[in-house]
Amino acid sequence: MWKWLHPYAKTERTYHLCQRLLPWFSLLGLVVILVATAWGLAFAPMDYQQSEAYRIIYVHVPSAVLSKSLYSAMAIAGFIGLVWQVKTSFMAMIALAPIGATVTFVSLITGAAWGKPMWGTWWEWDARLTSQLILLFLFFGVISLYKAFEDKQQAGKAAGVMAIVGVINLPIIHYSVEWWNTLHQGATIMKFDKPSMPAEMLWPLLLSILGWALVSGAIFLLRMQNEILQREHRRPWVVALANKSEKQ
Amino acid sequence: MHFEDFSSFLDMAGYGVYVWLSFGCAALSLMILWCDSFFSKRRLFTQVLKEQARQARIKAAATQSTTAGQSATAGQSTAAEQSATAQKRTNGEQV
Repeated sequence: MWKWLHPYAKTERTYHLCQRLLPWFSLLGLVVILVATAWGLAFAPMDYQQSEAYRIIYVHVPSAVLSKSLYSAMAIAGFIGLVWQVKTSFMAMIALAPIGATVTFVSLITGAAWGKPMWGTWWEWDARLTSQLILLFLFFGVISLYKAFEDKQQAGKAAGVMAIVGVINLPIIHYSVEWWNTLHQGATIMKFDKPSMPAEMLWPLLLSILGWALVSGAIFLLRMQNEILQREHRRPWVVALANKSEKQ
Repeated sequence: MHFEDFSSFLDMAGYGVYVWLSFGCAALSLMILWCDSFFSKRRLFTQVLKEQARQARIKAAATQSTTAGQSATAGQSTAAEQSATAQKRTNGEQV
């Protein structure tokens, strides 16, 4: 069943797969994120309670959703690397970490910019906000732990364990708004019953989540290639690629 | 279009600062990340080429010193001297 995956343990094959997927992710991601942002900013109706300030949702929610998805992806990659000793899996893990850190940072900044006019404060040590901040530190932890080891196989193992342990934070972030009294509102779209948002606001939001996912995917493909190049820089196929890229 | 004119679009009913701060920060962060990822790929390629050139120089120096050793049949000392200077040259290039 998983046999088709095996060739991708070979870095050269994975590199070329990334190269093939890269233009699609980049182009689609750019188009979708621009359309969704323009839609959300200029065409979606106004919120009856929060007026135009609610439009921050079109960057805040995608970045927050992506921060958790990217953390999950990173932890899964770390797990696969640890259990099946797949070298490329650790590379995927460390390629994902800076992207996750960036979107988590964006979700915190946009959250602060939304909190100031709505709650009257940039920051509060409240359950949702604090657990999201811890997520940012977990990303930093994985990155710095990986950088601390000279032997990258060892580094992958250590950072992988850290990524897996940090998964405990994900349900805490998700349920923080239910378990504790927080300033942050409850779930709006990630609910089992109908989302409590009108369609003309919801569509640009879903589209912007897709756009953010595609852009993150494109950046991931680039960073994955970089990790492969760094690790395999002595291989003849990498040297050949470098010579080819210079001629262009 | 929800807004009547461009200035009301910028103003965002008085919340302009917060809305544009959010979108600006998001755009800037993603762009920085993309640039870093994109340009480090180029940097990696130039590094690989540099390393390749260095290996070629070392190889050239090594073959030079061995051919010098073979040609200098008269005295062992001169050959040894030549290979020593070749060795020094490679060491210098490593730095």
